[in-house]
Amino acid sequence: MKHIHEGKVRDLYEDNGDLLLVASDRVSVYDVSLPTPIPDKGALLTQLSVWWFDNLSEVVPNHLISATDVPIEFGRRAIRCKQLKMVPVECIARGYLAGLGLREYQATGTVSGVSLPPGLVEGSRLPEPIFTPTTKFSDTGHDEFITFDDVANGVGQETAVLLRDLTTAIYKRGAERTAEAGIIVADTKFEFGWDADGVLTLGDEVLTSDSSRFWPADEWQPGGPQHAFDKQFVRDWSVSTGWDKTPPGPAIPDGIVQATRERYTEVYERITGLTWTS
Amino acid sequence: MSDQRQNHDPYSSGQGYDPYKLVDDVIEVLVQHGLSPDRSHGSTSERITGASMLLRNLGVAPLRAPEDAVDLDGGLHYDSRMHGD
Repeated sequence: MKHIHEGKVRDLYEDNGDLLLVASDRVSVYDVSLPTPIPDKGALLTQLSVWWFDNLSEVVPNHLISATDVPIEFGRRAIRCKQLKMVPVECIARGYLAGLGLREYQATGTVSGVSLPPGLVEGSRLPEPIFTPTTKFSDTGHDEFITFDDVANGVGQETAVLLRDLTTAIYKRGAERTAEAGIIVADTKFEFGWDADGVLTLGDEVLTSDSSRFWPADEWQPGGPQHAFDKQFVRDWSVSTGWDKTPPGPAIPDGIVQATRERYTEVYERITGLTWTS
Repeated sequence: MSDQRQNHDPYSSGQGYDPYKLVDDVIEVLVQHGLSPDRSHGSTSERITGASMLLRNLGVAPLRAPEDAVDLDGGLHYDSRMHGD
């Protein structure tokens, strides 16, 4: 087993030609990894992805090989995956207007080149989910939304159509499910790659709170900022300490750790309908 | 739907290259030629789209390695890009 890369929250290993994606219990806010882990966070997010991979398998093939054939020390925090040739586009679906998409809409009436009706406000539900791809990162430090045509120019028209259609299809299926659980998926991102058979395949994680913005449906009130379901708790607490958002981050007190863990657990249980056992 | 996705892989020839790395390579070549390329001109997306188009038109697929594509930082970049956190 070879350690390929260590991120702020997850690690990547290669094992007999497969990839092992291993999530930690670390939590990061404002680009800083905080020193206090959230117990079970890595396992909760990993197992939520596993559940989604299974429940979305009719919509899209995925890279999951096994959630159990992993080194025992990783427990439920790891999955064994196919190695994919990754498409160099981050595929984002938005069902609601928020964040930088809101700013773009207010300035241009569009988001990533998609025209939206007038009169939408912060938190508004969009008439249809939209595909708003981005580059993986920006080396200018500026926002880098791209349009469907940009994607088509980059990866080809056929691939771009597939990426767009799969992204919105996964979002729709996922959002239908979370709606039953009282959770809104404001937006979410997917990573796709080609498998060894030439099939466009869903990779990375799917519909977790690290790859999505979840809002509690019973608190949804268009016209102002919405509160994220889980990570917002740590985020709000960190700001309340007067921390300047630069390293090192503050240690998280026990009460906040427990409350945050409960939020992650609640998201898992509400979406999957399963009971989480540590 | 799965069948439709079969054989759409334009990269089955086996040649692939990371367009982000191509941009770095081009910058290095330009510097070697005495030029001073500056990333503050234009945008990342234009550079990556341009690099991807160049690769495709040379019969090379624009692709990324999993460690470069998968977000291992807990959604930090996503939160930043999407919500300005």
